[in-house]
Amino acid sequence: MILIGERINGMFTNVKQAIATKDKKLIQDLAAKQTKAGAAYLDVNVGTAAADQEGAMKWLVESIQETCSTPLSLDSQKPAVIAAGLKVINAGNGVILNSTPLNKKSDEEIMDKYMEMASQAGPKASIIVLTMDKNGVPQDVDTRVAIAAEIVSKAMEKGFDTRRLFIDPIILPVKVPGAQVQPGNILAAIDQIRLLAEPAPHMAIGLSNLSQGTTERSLINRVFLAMAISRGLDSAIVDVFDRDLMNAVATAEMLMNKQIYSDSFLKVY
Amino acid sequence: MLDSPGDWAKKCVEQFGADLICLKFDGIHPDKVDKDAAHAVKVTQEVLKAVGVPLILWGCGNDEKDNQVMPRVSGAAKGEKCLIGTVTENNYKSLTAIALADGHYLITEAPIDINIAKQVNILASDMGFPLERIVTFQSTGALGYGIEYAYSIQERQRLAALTGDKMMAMPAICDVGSESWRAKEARLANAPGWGDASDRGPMWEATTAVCLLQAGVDIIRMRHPRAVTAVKNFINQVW
Repeated sequence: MILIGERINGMFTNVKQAIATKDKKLIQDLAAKQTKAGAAYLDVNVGTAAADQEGAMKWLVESIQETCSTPLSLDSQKPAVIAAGLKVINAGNGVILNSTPLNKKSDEEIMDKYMEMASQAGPKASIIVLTMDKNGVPQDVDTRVAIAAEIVSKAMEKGFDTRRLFIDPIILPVKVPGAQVQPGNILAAIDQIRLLAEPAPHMAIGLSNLSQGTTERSLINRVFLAMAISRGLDSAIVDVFDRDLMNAVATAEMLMNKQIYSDSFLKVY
Repeated sequence: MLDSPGDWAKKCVEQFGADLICLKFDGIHPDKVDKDAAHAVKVTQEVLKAVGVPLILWGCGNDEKDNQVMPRVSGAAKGEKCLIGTVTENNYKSLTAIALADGHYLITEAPIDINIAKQVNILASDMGFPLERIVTFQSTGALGYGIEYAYSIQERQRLAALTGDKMMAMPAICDVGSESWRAKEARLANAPGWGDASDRGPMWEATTAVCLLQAGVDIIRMRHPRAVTAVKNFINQVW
């Protein structure tokens, strides 16, 4: 399971403040602690508050890499912000460009831009592509799968290795009116999307979004994550500090025979 | 020659092409010769002096005696980056700590059991022992005596490593020499219809080794020079 640590995100008050006051120590601590907790990648999102998003991304990447070699997931919907991070990054261990829709009204070619940036960043650079297009986020299984098929064929056309492709079927908060059908749809979509290419693209979700505004966030997150792992999900952006969640991942992977059982199997992450 | 471990080791390296020398301290076992730690240390020092190849320092399998002797052996070879073992699920703490302190590599042992193999690796790494300095050992079964179990466990271990299980991604060692020569088919001199005994033994050992190499094993403890030649020949042709 490729776990991407979500904590370096300007949406969190302490990170937002650290960006504003250039408090490297807080960011570096979060990087070290998330790595220790089992993050394979660290998500880096400047949030919406920073006036100069490109400058903030650059500063975050530089600050983290001063003390930590864990690969990063540069998280922005704006190619220019990703590009700013890529300018200063050491992508030797890999980097994920997170994320782009298939296309959007204002930019039909946005996915191509992300693929292009990833190709230039090196052989270990990957991209996350959302099953979303200019018509917005699909609600049903079939449209999600249809968009995913377009994503995969676009990647293949450009010679972009599907093993460097993460498809995110977009999880919506379960509490939003009418959205309760979505977790089931996501699972059905994962089943089908994984069959679109050989080797299969990775499947990623931004897990915490699912439980936004609910009273049992950790429980909802970890139960759904275990269900999704059983369907072939192999990556997620998560709170790696959530011990129960990490234990659920280790258990689900063990039960799916992805990790060999041992009495201390929980220590894997 | 047999009374001089240093000369013996030298011959193994120079004449028979051993890449490593394994000192198996069978003689310290209380039910065998019950030799003391001073003897084991002396042998270790002699061999260290005689050859430049890495050493494997392997206890006798009696926990109590190993815990008494192997720390002294480890200390005598401090800094030599030896492969020392074995540690098991129920007896790992002292030797792991000492191997770490003396800068050695560690052999973790399991009884042809994938789950226990992983468990010992986790236990050792939990004590701060680096995963990249661990070699795993599953008890070896020779041709005709459980090789299919040994083969499938090594294969499973290697496949787990290739699919990303970092607790299973260590090199593996097998004890082919002593296990093969325990087989009566390898040893029996007078066995009409089984072929010449002088060929049969080395062939038994070489076949066991080649089979386990193909399951993904990395280090093979071997006995007969002719078996070594045959296995080296195979390795050079395949890899």
